[in-house]
Amino acid sequence: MDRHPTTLILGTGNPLMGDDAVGVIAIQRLREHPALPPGVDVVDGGTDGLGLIPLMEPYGRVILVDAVPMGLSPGAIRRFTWDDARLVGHGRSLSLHQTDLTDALILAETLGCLPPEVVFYGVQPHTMEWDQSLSPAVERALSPLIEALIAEVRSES
Amino acid sequence: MPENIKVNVHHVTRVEGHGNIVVDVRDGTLEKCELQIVETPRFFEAMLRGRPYHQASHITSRICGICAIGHATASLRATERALQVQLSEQTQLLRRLAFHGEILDSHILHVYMLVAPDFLGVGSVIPLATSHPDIVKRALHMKKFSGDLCQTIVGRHTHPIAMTVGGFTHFPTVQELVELRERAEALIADVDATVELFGTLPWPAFERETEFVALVQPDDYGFIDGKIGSSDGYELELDEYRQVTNERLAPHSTAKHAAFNRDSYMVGALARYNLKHQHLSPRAKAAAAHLGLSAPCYRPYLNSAAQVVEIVHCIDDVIQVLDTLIERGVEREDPAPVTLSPHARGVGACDVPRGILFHEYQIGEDGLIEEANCIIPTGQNLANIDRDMRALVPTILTEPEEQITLKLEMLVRAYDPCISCSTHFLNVEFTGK
Repeated sequence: MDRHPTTLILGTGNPLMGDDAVGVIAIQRLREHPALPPGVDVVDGGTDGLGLIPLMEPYGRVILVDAVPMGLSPGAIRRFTWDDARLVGHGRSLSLHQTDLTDALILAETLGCLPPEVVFYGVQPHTMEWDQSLSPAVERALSPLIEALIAEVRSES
Repeated sequence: MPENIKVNVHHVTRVEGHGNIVVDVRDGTLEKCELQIVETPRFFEAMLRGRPYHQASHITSRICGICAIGHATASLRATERALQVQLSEQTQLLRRLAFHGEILDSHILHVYMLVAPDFLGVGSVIPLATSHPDIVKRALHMKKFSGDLCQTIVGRHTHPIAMTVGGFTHFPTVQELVELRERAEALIADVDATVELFGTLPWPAFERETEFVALVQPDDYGFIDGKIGSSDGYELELDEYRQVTNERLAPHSTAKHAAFNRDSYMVGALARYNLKHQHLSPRAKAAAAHLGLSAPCYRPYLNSAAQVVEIVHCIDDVIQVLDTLIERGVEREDPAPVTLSPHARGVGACDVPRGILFHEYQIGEDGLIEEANCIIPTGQNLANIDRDMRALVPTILTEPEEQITLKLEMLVRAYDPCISCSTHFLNVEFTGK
């Protein structure tokens, strides 16, 4: 299938749920970032699930930004690929089921419409309770997160 | 992946609630049969109190990833009714389009991804993608259209940034509407195939008479505004919604239960079908007949069939509204003005995919929200689900536990409860038998 030549940065999460907002806030900051190269689409995916499949499909590279509980210190940022996440999920304790986002990715893969390159930027949340602000640790993680995302999209895939 | 990282991609925040079905049969007697909901407290009022009124729809649209436009619309209507805002015809048409986009999106997700796997003998949509890839691809193709429709009208796939108090801040071009119309027309083949597919499914025959409640309007199968209609013959103004919902605590559920003229009532697609089927489009009426629906229908499993009927109706209405907008053109209107007054109250209601959603606000003269209340459709359905299960279980007790479990899960799923990931999170617990 012909794929759209650009990269998609997709932030997901719920801005009403404390640190779960980090993906959505990162998208807002990226939109205004002067170093964002052309040919990169930046989309706030909110808490959509399977609706993300047709959204991601046209792109060759999708970078997902989200709060991910990883057992790390709050605010810690980890980059991992879909292959990393999936392999660990099948082999060990990674809980990749029971989420709209991972269902969407597995479904897209089953149907053969997952973009060739899927990268995650996970940020360890401190709290994901009903709250409309980020915890200080995650707030501090925003700048390095944005810089890492800019560096990622400026690099050749 | 380095060895020392334990990744747990477990988005519990995406879960709108956590449901358990508990059935307790001792010595052949049904001791307990209930849907237990452990729902995250919504803190609805705390989210809004002290906020400027124009922020309310943007905040509340984030409550639910599926009903974002529904929450935004109910919120805007509550604000607009409190602040005496008169909407233009164009605003109403654009909102109607966006709302249809969300009904389509949600119903397609539910009937294809959550309901169809039960009937096609697979555990979830993931194996369905292997066993019936064409069906899943069709569903995603239809979802793409509904997502793009919402994107064009409200500026974003899920969260409607262009809808504001009194109108819109962004307007589609006529060319965009023409393209959407072409795509909607082309989608009719998929819609017909959907009706065919669901027409072949063996819907369980279980029925139980109950009260149905939906928003009603003269001569229209509308989803926004109107009066609160009941199949028991009552019609109330939106401001009287608390007389309908009569929320009360249920010991096994952190979500409140609702009752109007009986001890429970049902909202959602089947309730709408029962109360206003005469206003469906001709093709939607034909689809209803094909799916075995005739009013009054007391078979809760057919709520999913009623959703299929609404998919047909919404596509037809989308085409009709697009025709109207294309003909009259789209103007860049300023939002209609508000009138602030002390302690102004307003109730907004719309029939979102799962049933009536109510928002009520009190707004001060300074434009800040003083009080807020929200009643979601799933909360209104909980008591009715319990009563359905209690009526169903004695009729299927001789069946294997696996079958009982499946039928109860399917019953709960038929209501399309707003428990995201309900495929995974429903656990049936047998405490006796």
